[in-house]
Amino acid sequence: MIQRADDAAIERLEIQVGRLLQAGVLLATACLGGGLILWCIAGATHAVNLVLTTGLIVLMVTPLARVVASLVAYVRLRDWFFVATTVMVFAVLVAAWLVKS
Amino acid sequence: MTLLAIVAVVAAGSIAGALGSLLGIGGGVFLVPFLNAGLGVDFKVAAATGLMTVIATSSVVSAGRAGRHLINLRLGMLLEVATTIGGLIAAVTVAYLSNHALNLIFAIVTAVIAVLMLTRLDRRNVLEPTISPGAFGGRFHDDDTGRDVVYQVKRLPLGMSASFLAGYVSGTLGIGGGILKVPVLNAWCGVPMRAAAATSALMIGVTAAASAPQYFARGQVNPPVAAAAVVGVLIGSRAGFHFSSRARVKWLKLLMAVVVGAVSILYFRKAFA
Repeated sequence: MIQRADDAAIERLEIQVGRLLQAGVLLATACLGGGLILWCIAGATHAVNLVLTTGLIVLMVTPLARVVASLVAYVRLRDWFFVATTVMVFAVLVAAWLVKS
Repeated sequence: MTLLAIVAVVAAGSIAGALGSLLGIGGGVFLVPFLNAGLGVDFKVAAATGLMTVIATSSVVSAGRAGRHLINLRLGMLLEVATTIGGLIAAVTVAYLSNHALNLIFAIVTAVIAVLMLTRLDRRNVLEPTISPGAFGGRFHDDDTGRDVVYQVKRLPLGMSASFLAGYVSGTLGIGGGILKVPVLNAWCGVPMRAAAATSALMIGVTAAASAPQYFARGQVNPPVAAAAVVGVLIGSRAGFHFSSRARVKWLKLLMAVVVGAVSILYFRKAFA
């Protein structure tokens, strides 16, 4: 049976997840915006490329961090049905980095 | 990439982001053809760029909506299993698709989107502009489906299938795919429009995150182009929010449905040229 965790806990989770997403986007935007300005000044140097790539990786990892945060919360709430779905999403996201095509 | 091209990508990203937040369809459907057909960027590089903007948009929109009970985390988590699998399969298999096949798929999907836009002119759907959390608070009460609406999800397998398909399309073409699953969730699965849109906005980020690393590993992400597009889209969606109260969204939607239709015809021609 699916047990519903209480609304207050879910609301707290939502707010925490929101903060996490915001932090990820801010960090990524800082790298990407700063990197672009450097790119305009210095051209496509190795260092500039590194800053831009860091920004893109932060961007790609932010949703993954969101899934991990939700997973921790669902485990704490003992909401096993959603622990299972979150683990599956997590597994697919990790596979996205590991599978070779 | 020249400086001029990067400026053009920032500008195109801004326009795509503004239209995306005004119309609720995500900017990728404008950005990807601009990069590919307009600037001559390879389709897969354009799609990878689109995916990066989808992640950024999803994170910003979801952060703005947190704590309002609009995002259905439980439904979203379940549907995300389907969309991420669709996204990953797409990102792996797209390596084996020719440009001819991609042009054809893009032509078909944009045709479907144009028709969906035309049939839903009076509905506000998918990504709503929500950059500043304070500003959209009052708008929930204007809507006929306020936040105290209680709903049950029906026909879950249908919702899962639509999510899988949206994930596959997103991973193949670099567009968000919200316009493909939100109508299904709303019309057939009993999810109120705003909850469907908010939940979809959260899901597209994870979906794109299941595809983007594959493009990244294949070297199909062009860092300056992707950075310019993301910065542009973030600026544009802010602007889109600013103008959304004044713009006559219905006419803009009609116009853009025609534009998306024209993009579709362009890609049918490319596919059969």
